[in-house]
Amino acid sequence: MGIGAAVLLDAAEHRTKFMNWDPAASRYGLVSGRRNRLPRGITRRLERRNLMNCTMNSLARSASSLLLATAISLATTAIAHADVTLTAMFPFTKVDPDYARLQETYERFHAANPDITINFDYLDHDAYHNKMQALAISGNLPDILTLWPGKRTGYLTGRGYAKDLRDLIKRDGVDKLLRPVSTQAQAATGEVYEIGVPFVNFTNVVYVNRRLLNEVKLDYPKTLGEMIGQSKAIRAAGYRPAVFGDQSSWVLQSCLLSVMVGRMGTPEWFANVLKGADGAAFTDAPFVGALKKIREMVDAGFIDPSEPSTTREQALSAFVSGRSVYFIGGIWEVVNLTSALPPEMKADVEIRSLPEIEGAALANSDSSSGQPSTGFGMSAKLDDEKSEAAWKWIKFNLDPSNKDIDVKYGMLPIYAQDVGVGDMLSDPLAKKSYAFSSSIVHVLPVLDDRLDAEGVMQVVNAGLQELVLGSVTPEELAAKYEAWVAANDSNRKTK
Amino acid sequence: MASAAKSDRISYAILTAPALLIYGLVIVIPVVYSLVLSFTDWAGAGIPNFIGFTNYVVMFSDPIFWWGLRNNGLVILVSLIGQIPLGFFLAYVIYRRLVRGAGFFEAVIFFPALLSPVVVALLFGVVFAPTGLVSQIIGRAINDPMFSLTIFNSKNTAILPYLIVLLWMYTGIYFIIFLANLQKTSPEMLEAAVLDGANEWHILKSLILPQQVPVFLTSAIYAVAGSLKSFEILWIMTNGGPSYYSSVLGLYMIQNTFSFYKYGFGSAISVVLILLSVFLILILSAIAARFTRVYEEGTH
Repeated sequence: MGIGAAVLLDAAEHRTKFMNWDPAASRYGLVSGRRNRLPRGITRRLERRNLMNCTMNSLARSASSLLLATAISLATTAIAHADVTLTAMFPFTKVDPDYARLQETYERFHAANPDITINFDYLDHDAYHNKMQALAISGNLPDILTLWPGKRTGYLTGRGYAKDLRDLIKRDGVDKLLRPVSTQAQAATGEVYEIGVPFVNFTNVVYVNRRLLNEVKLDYPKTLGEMIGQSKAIRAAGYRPAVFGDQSSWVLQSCLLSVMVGRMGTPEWFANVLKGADGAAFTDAPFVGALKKIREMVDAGFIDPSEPSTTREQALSAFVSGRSVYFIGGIWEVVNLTSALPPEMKADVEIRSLPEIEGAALANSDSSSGQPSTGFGMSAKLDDEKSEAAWKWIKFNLDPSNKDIDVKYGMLPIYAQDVGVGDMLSDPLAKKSYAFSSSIVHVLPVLDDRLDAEGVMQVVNAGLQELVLGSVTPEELAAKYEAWVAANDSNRKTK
Repeated sequence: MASAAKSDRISYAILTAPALLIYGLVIVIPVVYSLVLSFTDWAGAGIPNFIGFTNYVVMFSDPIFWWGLRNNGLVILVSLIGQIPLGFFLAYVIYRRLVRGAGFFEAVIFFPALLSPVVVALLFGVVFAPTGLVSQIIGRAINDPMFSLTIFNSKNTAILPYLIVLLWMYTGIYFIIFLANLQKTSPEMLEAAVLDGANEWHILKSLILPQQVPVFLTSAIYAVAGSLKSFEILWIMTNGGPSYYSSVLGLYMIQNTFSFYKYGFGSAISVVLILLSVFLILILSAIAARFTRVYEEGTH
């Protein structure tokens, strides 16, 4: 029975009751049979007054019923299409380009999903991490979390505060839309906690000054051995073979060692060495071999011993001013080069992957170290309704139809299939950057993304600088790191 | 009488209470809190676990700690036997008008102390960079465009550029302190000394230096405390590198506390720094007291 029908029935019932009711008898406490004992005038007035009262009462009751019915109707509608409000926190401030990108994305999202509102909060990078730790402990995490694919937000992902997205990813076929790297395991036990714009931060990119290379009558080498062999000719011409600027100490590890370890060892070996399984250790050939190659690069003059004292800015300056043939860095340097290079030089700069390493387990040069960009995850405590709303927001950020916003703000998303991002680019370096990213078949792990920061920073990063300066041998450094990992690294503790 | 004394005590209490309260809040409580934390494995959140002396054992067995302590020692030495004597010497030269253009030199010597440490760090970072100003000048002088400064490549010398910067930047502070105190010396006394036939060395040794002992002590305490806590210039200039060659304890503490979230360990380092400061200041006080006694005995 509908609400309207109920109201009508209710009114009819009242009307019937009124018709059978004897108002005068009621008023004076008499039974209907004694009605005619009252004077006629009084009886008539009483009847009129009572009729009016009854009419008013009936109207009021009908109005109440109508209001109740309307409220119930509205509540039912509201339950069917509930407005969801989510909270989110981001690790950047409003001056960051990511802020503008996010705002534009949200405006489009909210227009498409008016029933979902997201309240944003912004904090500077370090403050973000500090606050998130406090919020996690106090049980007040925001609904949408900005998470790192690696260890950086391990204080959330490793302690059960973030929801595992694998079921949602499978359910909606998101994994088919993206390249495997975007949905690869983010924990030793396979969980995926975040997905962002499908942009990969490649940490090993070789920027080549083609004009200088032509000047010394060389071509981009096919193997690392050839590349190292070019050092003599390049130095003889008065140029530095390569610069990368390792004063901040993470560059050599992140931008060179990681890709070399990734290529020299198989993925299985890397998975085992993380957990310490099957006797795998950092004293094994892949890790020691990569360190030896770096030492070989120093001995041949390809890497200058001054690199550990050179800043990124100084290295970039040496490359931009035509004093170095190669500049080794991450894909993020494209932004710096775009603003630093004069237009005529942009055509001379090539973006390449490290040449093939002789004897490596992973042949060819179609691989680079990298990690998916930071992305969105959600609090593990969300109920189904909020979880679905948060998932909608996450998927919206992945949707190829919104790629124009990402491209506008300098992010070049890579999908499983070509979705036409290349056609949207006009800057020659951006085109080359996208071509490079698209050409990488294997995305290899970055050490400081997979292993605990303390060990990588204090042992590997510092040790690599000593290796370049000749204060430690590859074997010594590998042994020292293996000892640290075995005793302290969280990957080994979770096996 | 007793009433007056009681009234005095109440006045002292009222007058000193605000200062003591603030001192307690910003100095005593954090120090005690650090001491407590140093016996825990607190990671910045959650309830700290008591781990006894583990942090201290780990710290004292870490070569980076000892190398940082060695570098801190060099910084203190540069302050005590570099900045302070040089500041005094320059102040004396200016005070005695041994050079012309005293006003100009006063400004030039004090100017570096006015600069922001960040600016100084960035400036000297470029000056001493492998491809920086010094390398360029030497490279042109020896006609080798590939020349690069190798001072940072050696574990023993990597701290040298930082020491040079400290000497350049902070000598002006001690220069001003000494100059201000020298100007309190009575001109009549100097005149009398000259009339009695005292030469410049006699004036310095017998008249000026004894008066400046308390100033040396104050400057030395200031230098020790500043040397142990300073790390900002180094952080920007070298980041403690290459490797840990130019690291100091302040930087070691910052990295462990805020990069690795080892707040308990960082607190242990800060406790060691405090104890080291107190120990050195006590030694300096004893030395200054001895010098004062020697001078006082000499004058009687």
